[in-house]
Amino acid sequence: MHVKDLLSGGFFCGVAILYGSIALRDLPVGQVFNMGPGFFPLVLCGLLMLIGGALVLRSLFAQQSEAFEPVPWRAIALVSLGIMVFALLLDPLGLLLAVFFATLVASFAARKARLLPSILAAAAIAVFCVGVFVLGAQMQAPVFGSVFGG
Amino acid sequence: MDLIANLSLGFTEAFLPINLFFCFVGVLLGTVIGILPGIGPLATISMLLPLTFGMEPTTSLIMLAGIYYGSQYGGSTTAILVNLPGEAASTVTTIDGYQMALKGRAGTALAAAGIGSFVAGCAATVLIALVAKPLTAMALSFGPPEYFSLMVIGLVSSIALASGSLLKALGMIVFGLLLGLTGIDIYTNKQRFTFGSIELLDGLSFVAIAVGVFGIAEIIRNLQSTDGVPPRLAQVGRIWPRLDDLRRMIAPTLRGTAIGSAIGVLPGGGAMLAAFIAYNVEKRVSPNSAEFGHGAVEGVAAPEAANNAAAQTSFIPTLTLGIPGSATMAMMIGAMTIQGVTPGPNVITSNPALFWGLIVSMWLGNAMLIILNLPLIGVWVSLLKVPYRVLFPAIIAFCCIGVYSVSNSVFGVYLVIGAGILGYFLSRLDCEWAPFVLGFVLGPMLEHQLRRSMLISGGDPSVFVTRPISAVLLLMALGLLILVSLPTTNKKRAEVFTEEV
Repeated sequence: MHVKDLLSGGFFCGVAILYGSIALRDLPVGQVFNMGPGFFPLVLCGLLMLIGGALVLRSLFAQQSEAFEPVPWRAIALVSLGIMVFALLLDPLGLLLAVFFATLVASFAARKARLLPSILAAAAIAVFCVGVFVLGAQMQAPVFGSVFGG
Repeated sequence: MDLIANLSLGFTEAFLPINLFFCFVGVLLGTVIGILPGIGPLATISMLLPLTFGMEPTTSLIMLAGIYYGSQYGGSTTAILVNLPGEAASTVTTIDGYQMALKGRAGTALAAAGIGSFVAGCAATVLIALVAKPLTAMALSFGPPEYFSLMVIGLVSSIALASGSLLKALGMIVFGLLLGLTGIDIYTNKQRFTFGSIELLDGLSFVAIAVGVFGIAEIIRNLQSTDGVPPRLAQVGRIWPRLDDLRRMIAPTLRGTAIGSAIGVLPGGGAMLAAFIAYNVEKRVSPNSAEFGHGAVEGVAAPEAANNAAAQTSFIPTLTLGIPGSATMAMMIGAMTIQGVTPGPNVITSNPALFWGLIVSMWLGNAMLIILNLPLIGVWVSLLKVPYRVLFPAIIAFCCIGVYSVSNSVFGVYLVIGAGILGYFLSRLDCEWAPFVLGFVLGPMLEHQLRRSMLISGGDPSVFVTRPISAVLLLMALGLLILVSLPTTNKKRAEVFTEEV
């Protein structure tokens, strides 16, 4: 069994089923000479189902694939969390602090990160970003957020 | 003469101080980011794309093109100095480039890459200027069926370029086409796949997806493999090549340029394929073929000339037909659309200053690359010494700010998280994202042309095979699909992509 093929095939089938059922439920198919909004998506879902199915079938008859590398959960979680912190804090706290906290959180995605260097680096990055994007590229973002009356 | 007049218009436009300045900034930033190992042109462009939004369309496209060349050159630098291809197209460069570096000749290798790229850039610029007019004239005669078939061939050839399994590449294309349809259907005003979200009415943000699947996923991958330890660096040594090296570079550079220019024009023909073919050709015809793999300067000059020529001529279908030949060009199309420029054959007539300015700035960008890079190699080397654990939080911050500034809303930033996680896991399953991006950009266009074709023909699908141009294009697509799925070519293809040292 080929695990990577099985999983990717399964993923494609899942997408096809999800999108196909939405299309069937909400979108009129129309006629060939006057296609509705559902026509093309349904064709694509059918194709994707075929491709996914073929991958799954093939995986079942294949020999064992190479060992699966471990998933870097720490990196995935902390990088995602960092980005989420940015999104959550941007409006209330403003760009400067949002970047600071986001990079601080994200920097712990590397296993050897230590607190003090991370804080210093995050502060530097935050100041740099405000300088480049707000002052340099004239980006429309509050440097200080609504909490500070910005 | 027409060509001269057009080019002089281009020169006036490209030499405007503001365009000159941002061309320079683009080349510089592109090189800086492209040098970071594992960050290729796609990730670089998606990260820096938002910087260009506040500008005039011409300026922003000039800067983006500069970023593209810069990142490609940066990728070659990393390939030579640390044996890590910064991007797929410079994979071949690692073979002889790193061997040269081990022998203390990294400087010469870098110069060979720079000079090769520059020569290729000059030739490709002239080529674009020559063929753009006739090609657009042809494109204007295309009806919906021709466009549909043209896009099909583009999608099919992107499979040939995917290094992994054909089925997965096909799946990623269809997945991309499907997600590309998100938003309001222009024919019926019905919402499609918006899951009730107002933010998705305009479709999924292209920038957020590109940043996620290329930028963020790459960071996660790098954190896993390096865990923040800087790579080992080779000594640069003397930069200016000896006369003997220069003489050995001439023919390979010219051959590489020719191969690259031809492959770049093909839909789906990317810089990577051009570099691979140029290297293999050079290995066969070179009088020094025994030296290949042990630090032959030809093995650096030829693929570098080829990948730069291809990078540039791939603008031809993008600018004349509005159809991207590669994922990078899909990003350029995305950027043009955001700027309010509708890519296609009309650009050249409706906006000649933009068109010719961009073309001249390609040449200018290449000239800047060589002026900038050879003296600054020392700076780039010290950049490579910055540990990754310091760099990646900054990259994440740039990504967030960039995506936010596209629409001044944090919705896109949340989208990046999803795209990043999905991007990481699907690449772990050997599903590549370049075909996806092509599908994503082409999805709405493909559907549009399909529906128009069917309206015109009254629902008769034979219109695709009764119109000669369309029939030929579809036949080519079919032939290509059969060719790449044949067991023998499939094996050859795998060999080409895995060929090492």
